[in-house]
This record gives sequence, structure tokens and C-alpha cells, in this order.
Amino acid sequence: MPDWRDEIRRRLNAANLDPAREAEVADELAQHLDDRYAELRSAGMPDDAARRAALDELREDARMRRDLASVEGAASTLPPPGAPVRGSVAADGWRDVRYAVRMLRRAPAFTVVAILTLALGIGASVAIASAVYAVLYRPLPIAEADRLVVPVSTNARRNIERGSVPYADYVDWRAEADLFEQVAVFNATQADLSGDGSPERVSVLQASREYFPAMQAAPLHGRLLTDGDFAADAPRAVVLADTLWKRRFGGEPGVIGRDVRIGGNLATVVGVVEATRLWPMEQEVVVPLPVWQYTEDQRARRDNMIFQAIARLRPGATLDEGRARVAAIAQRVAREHPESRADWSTNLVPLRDYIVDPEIRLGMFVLLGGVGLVLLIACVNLANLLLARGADRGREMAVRAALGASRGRLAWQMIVESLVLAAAGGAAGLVASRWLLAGLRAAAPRQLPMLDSMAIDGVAVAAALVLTLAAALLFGIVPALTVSSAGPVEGLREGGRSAGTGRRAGRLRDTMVVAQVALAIVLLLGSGLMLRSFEHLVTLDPGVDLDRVLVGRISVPSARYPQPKRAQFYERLTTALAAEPGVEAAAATSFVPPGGRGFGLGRVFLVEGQPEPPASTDHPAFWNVVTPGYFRTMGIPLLRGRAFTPQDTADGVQVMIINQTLARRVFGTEDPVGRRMRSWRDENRLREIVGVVADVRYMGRADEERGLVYVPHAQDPWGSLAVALRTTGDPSAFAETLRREVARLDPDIAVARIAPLSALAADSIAPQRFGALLLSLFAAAAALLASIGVYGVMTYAVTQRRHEFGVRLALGARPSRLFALIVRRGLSLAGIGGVVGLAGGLAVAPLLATLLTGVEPSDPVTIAAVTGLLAFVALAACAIPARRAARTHPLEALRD
Amino acid sequence: MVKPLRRLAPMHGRELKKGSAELLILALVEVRARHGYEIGKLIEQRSDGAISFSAAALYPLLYRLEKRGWLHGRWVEKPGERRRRYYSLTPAGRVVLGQQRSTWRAFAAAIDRIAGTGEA
Repeated sequence: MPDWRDEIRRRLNAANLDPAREAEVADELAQHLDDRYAELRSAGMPDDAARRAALDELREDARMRRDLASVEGAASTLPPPGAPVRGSVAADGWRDVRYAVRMLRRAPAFTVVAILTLALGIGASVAIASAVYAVLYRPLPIAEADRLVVPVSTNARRNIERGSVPYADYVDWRAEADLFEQVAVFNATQADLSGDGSPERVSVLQASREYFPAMQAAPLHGRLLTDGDFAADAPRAVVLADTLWKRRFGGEPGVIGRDVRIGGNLATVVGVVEATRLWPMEQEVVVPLPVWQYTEDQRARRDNMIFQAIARLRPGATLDEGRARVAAIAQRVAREHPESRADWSTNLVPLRDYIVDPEIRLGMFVLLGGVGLVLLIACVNLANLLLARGADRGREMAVRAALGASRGRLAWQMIVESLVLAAAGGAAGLVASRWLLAGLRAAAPRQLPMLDSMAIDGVAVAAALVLTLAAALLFGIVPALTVSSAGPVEGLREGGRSAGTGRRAGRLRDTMVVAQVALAIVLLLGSGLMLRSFEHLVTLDPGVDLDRVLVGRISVPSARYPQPKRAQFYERLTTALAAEPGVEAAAATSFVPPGGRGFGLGRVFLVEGQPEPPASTDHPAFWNVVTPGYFRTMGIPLLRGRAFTPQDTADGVQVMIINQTLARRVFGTEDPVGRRMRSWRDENRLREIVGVVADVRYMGRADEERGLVYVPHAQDPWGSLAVALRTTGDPSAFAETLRREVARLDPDIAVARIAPLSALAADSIAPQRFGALLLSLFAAAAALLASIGVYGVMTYAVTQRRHEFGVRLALGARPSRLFALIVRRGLSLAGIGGVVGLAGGLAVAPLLATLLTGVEPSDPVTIAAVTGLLAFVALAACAIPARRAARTHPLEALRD
Repeated sequence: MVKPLRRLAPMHGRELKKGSAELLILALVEVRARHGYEIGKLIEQRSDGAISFSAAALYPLLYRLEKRGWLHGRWVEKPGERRRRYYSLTPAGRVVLGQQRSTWRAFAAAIDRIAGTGEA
């Protein structure tokens, strides 16, 4: 008798049985083979053939291993689901889950694909949902922040929705004690912190005495500002934010009482406060607002809109009530000061809304919608896969039904399988979401607020749970009902093929493919529009030559640099820089394009001889103080007249240069050179226009056309300016040159935010780039999933109709006809989906309008591109199954 | 009831077989305990060869039924032979056999009423 054991052991190997159990099973199988061998030998079969025939008993060894693993692994004495034996509900549920796991393990390819799809869909959705929650809904770290509002000036005529406010208005609001608990004004500025190590540029908040009470802030160490700190003769006090305290002072509590210099002025550290409790964000130092330095006129003027405000509503006071009250005050002021306040009103913006502007809010929702669509398409794909699988499992269901399982019982089992699948996908998705969110935070533009508070936390887990359940129902319910709907008789009579293969199931699958294509088209259209808008932005001329320019900011303390010395400092600095090898030109400016910030001071102008408002309308324009080399350094073309020269001194003729837009608005086609204008509400000095320069988009590439007035620094010597260098090579290499030259003139002055101009420009369109990129990723995923859907359905249809194709070919049909038949069918499904998707996409596209620049929501180029892409993808998805149909071998097909 | 199986495509036969295999095995050990080879042989003989199980298919099924508590297996040793494992029906197995038998009869009768007359 042959010894079978080694052979049996080899074949049992992968079943991972317990060794003792494996020995028993091997024993029993060996006995079986002995019996078989003996029987064949006694029937006269030669030894060799009998040995082979006996071993043939083990030919299905893969199945045996699987079955053994599942039997031996499951220490169960319960009947299988569907058998007419009743247990407890809990036992039923547990059994269903185990059975589901077993069924899923039997189809590893399907299971892996399904779990990966779900993990990506759910992971991306959770990551985006966490980001949306952090930006839009997570409570601010500021105490009772829902009662904080930001008073803003509005001007409908000049399209201003969030203007700064004058001090006099703050005094009026403060009197509304029954409406506001506190109203505070402040100036958020920058200054050099020195006196302890090298000078450093820090964010300084000059705040009125109500600021800390309004924020309900408490000190970490020491104290906050008190009324005594606001007296003109009090020693100057400063409160440090914990961020600066940790970075510069090593987090020592002993910092209290230490003297520092801020903007050249000596001040004593009195306390430390958490930076997250402050607003605006990222403040590093809080000092008293120097009201004592303001003239009576500065305090009383109604158009001195240079302050920001924050107010805390009394408990019970509503936003609407507050808005009505401040609007009424603004109306009164407008009546009293029609010359300066005629078109102005006041609004209250809840702090949260102020931080997250409407564009960011909309952008976040667009991304959430996009990722949701991807998840939806993924679910439809899975439903389709399950339906196809259901067709294979029709027999299993029919047999179970024959054994007495109810239809509900079978549907429930399918749903449990979907839940198990979704749970695995959801868990993997939650893990994936951590990575995705980390990536999101790294890639997110600086303009996106609350980035640091984005985290995978309880809210994210809850979101994952909800999404998992929703996904399971979405992709599980239709296949469950379809597959379980076939009765036992029907199921067995058709050889178990009716479930999931019938006409109804076929229609269902078609419908799902149409839905997938439609959803994908909506996403493609949205991302196409965003991409086109971004492309438009990039091609917009910023008005300056971005290459090879380095920008840094410096602030010269006015105490140490009175008027003539300040102008001299910048003149010396720019001259020295321009003389450096590799530097073509150097200049200083108060306002940096495009989107490079600086200080854009809005003023209003009158032409010489023009009557003052309200008798006439003044012309708004930004006021930019520049040194002579500015236009050359930035590459701004001079269109008429001349640029500034060193001869435009403080004592010389007062001059200005205006931009093209202001020239057109004020002078039409006339030549402005030689005419005179004044900034009548502020400087109120007539300046001769000596030149006209081309427009520059100061507020970023998407900026509208704005009036600009340039004034020579010698005639208006500001302390805080940006210094720009045009270099011959890589501008970043000149950062050290800039620092060295500044330090050579004054070692106590810091250079802050050194960056190439091109980086500043890229930064200004980072949100658009980010949005377009993410949405494109989603759209690509959607297109891929939809094409897989089309491919799957067409492949399935070809398999189902193999017999029919065999007959057709046998009767003389040409293969090319079958190819065309399948392609036509696939394209018509995609076509229906495309039409539905385009209609839907065009219906929702107007929602994107405020996020788009230079592109209409109904952009024909985008529609054409999306349609073309759809046709291409659908064709590709149909071609493979169609080729298979055309290559059907008639004989083989008929034999099956 | 067994003959028409021959005309089914092989795959369908296999699936049907799987569905009814439990019933067949339980029925074969109803009267007395049998070992695996004997059970397989009897199924093949009594179905005129329409149904047959390879060892690879049969034993996992036996273990499954044993796990469920429907069969009881015990090793029997005889001198000069390998030990053999004999399977007998448990009381729980007897109940299940009764239920499956009546379900199958009702089902087969229904199939026969529809398909047996040749009008299907």
C-alpha cells in the first residue's frame, strides 16, 4: 500500500490546521485513499494508474483547504444562516457577521477592491469633513465667541463690505451700554522687538482698554492691561503672547518686569497671554492704544477710518437688533457729515463669519460636495459589483430559500455582508484620513484659517461612522433586495441564474451606470471650470515683472529717526543695495504687488478747481509711497511724463504719479501730466502729476482695476516700507545682502518676511490653486470609477450574451457588427449619463460663480472638453468587452 | 429526481449537489454509523453515478456537520488495519434530517409539478 501521508500533508499545508487535528484529518484521508486504491487494484488496474486515480480524490485540494479552514476555524455548533432553526437575536447577528466574513474571504479580489475603494472614499470624505468642521464650525478657543461681533464700515457705492472704522464711531458705540458689554478698537501693526538679542519683527496689537475684557482673556502669567496703563504719563506696559514668550524668552515666568524695546520705545513686560485667545490671529504683543498721542481732530473725525473694532453683545441682545442700532447711528452720522459719510453705513459681522469669509466657506462646501460625489460614485460602483456577484450567488440563495429561509432573512444576510464590508472600509478609511488630513494641512494655503485646529478627533470618528453606515445602505440595499427576490423554484429552474441576471437586474445595473456617469460629469464640469478659472488667473498680467525680485520689510523707529533722517535712511539703503554686484535696481515701497500686502492706504482725491463733496464726487485711489527706483525695480512701464528722481525732495515741487485707470477715470482722454490733484480729506496738498504708469494688480492677480497714486518717499517719509531688489540671478541668494546692508546702517533694525516676489504672487493665488487641484483629483477619481462602472457592466453583458453571440456568428454575423453593437450600447448608456450630468452640472455651476475668474459657469470650452473626455473614456471602457464579443468563438460559445 | 441532474451543465450540478449534500449524508447515516469512504461510495452507487464526492469535498462536509452537532464521529481500530472514523446521526441531526427531508419533498414535488410534465 502506498504511503499517502506526505502528499496529504503537502496539500493540507495552507489550511493552517492545529497539528494534532491535521494528523487526524491526514489519517482519515489516508484511509480513504487506501480504500480507493485497494478497490481499483482489485478491479485489475495497474499499480501506477491506481495510485494516480486514488490521488485524484484530492484534486480539489484548494477548495478542501478553504473549506477545512472555515470549518475548523469556526468552532460553531449553530446551523448556517437560512436554515429553519431559530436562535437568539444576538446569536443570529453574530452568526450573520461570521458568515459574512466567510463569504467575503471566499472572494478576496472583490473584497480587497471593495475595501480599498471604500477606504479611499470614506477617508477622503472624513478628511475634508474634518477640515470643513475645523474651519466653519469648531468652537473658537475664545470664551463665548458667539457673542463677539466685528463692527465694520460699509459703502455700497464703492463696493466696500468690511471697511475699517473711525475712532469717533467707537465712542458712539461704547455709549450703547444696553447693547454691548464691551466695544474695543485696535490697530494691528508690526514693529521691531529689540533689547534682548537681535531685533525681530513682531505683530503688535495696539488695543483700547476694553479689548481684554471683550475677549474675556485671562493672563497665563502676570497681568493683562489695566486702566492705569492707558494714562499718558504711565510707564509703557506690554503683554506678550505665549508663542513669542516661548520662542524668544524660553517660556520663563521671570520675563515679567523685564524691559524690552518695541518700535524703539522702552516698555515693561507685565503679563503673558495665550495667543489663541486673541483676535486677530497670530498676534505676538499687545500694547495700549496710544490714544493720548491722538489730536482732538483725529479722535473726532468721522472719516478717519483706520481702526478695527471688536464688540461683545450683551447676553440676550440679538445680532439683528445690534445691526439696526449701529446702522441708525451711521445714518445720523451721515446726515451730520454728508461730505465724508454720505454713502457709508455700519454693519456687525459675527466673528466666525469675519474669520471665514464667504468665498472660503463656499470653497469648503464645494470641496465637501466634490468628495461626497466621489464617495457616492464609489458606492454605486460597489452596488454594481455586488449585483454582479449576486448573480453568481443566485444558486446559493435559491438553495437556502429551498431550505426554508425567508426572503427577508436572505436580504438581511446580504445587508450584513455590506455592513461588514463597509465597516472594514470605514476603519481603513479612518486610518487613511489621518494621512490625507496631514497632506491637506501641508498643502493648504496660508489664507485658510484655523488650519492648526484640523484633526481627526471624535467628530471625525462620528463622521466616519455615519458615512460607513450610509455607504453600506447605499451600496447594499439594492443588491440585497434584487438577489433575494428570486424564489427557490425560479432560482433553481433557471440554474440559479435568474437572481441578478434577469431583465430587472439588468435595467438596474444600467441605471446605476447612468447615475455614475452623470455624477462624474457634474464633478468634471465643476473641476473643469475651476481649472479654467485658475488658468485664466495665471495668464493675467500682474502688471509687474515678477522674476528676479526679492522683497523684505523693514520698519524704522520714528523716535530715533525724525523726519529728514527717515528719508535719508531709505535713500542710503537703496543706493547701497543698487551698488551691490548682481543687483540691477533697488527701491522701497509702502504697498507690494501682487498680493504681497504692505499697506494699501485708501484715500479720495479732487482735481484742482473741483468743488468739494457733496457738490461733486471725489475719486478713490490707493496711496503708495515709493523711492525713485521703484518703477524700474518692479518693471512697471512709464506711459507718460517722467518717473521720480532724487531731485523730488521734501522742499521741491510736490509731485505725484498716477496709474492708467485713475488717469482714465479722472481725465478721460485728456493728458493728466501737468495737472494738479489733492488728497483732500487727508494730506490736502496740491501735487502736480508728473507721470502716468501702467496698472498693477496690487491685491493679487484677480484684483479689479483700481486707482493708484504714487508719491515720492522724500515728500511723505513713512517709517515702515518694503524694500525690493531686482537682481541678475536667483533673488533668494540676495537675502543676506539685504540683511547685511540694513545691519550696516542700523544693527537694531530687523528685516522681516524676505521672499522672492514670484513666491508672493504664487501665494496670492494659492487658494485657487488648492481648490482647483483638489477638485481635479476628485474629478479624476470620479471619472476612473465611472469608467470602471461602464467597463464592468459591458463586460458582464458580453459574458451573459456569449451564447447569443455564438449563434449570431454561426449564422454569419460579422465580428465587426458585434463590436459595434457593444460599443453602441455602452456609448448610449454613457450618453444618457452625460446628458443628465451636464444638465445637473449646469444647474449647480452658477453656485461656483463667485469662485470663478474670467470664466462663465456655462463656459462652452469646459463643456466641450468634458464631453470629449466622457466620450473618450466611455469608448475606452467599452472597447475591451466589445473586442471580446467580436472574438467570440462560435463553437465554444455554443458548447458552453 | 436525480436523473435530470445529468443533463445540467457541470457547474449547476455541482451547486445543486452542494445544496443537497447535507441531506444525503444525514440520510445515509440514519440507520447505522458509516465511515467516509462508505458514505461517498453509497452516494455514487445510489445515484447511478450522477452524484459523486471526491475525498477533498466530502471530508470538510463531514467535519462541518460534526461541528454543528448533527453527526457524531468516533475512531474504531481493527487489528491489521488503519483506524477508521465512523459517523452516526445525533438526536439534533435526526431533527434536522426530518426538517430537510420534508422541505425537500415539498420542493421536489413543486418542481415536478412544473417541470416534470414537459410543459415548462
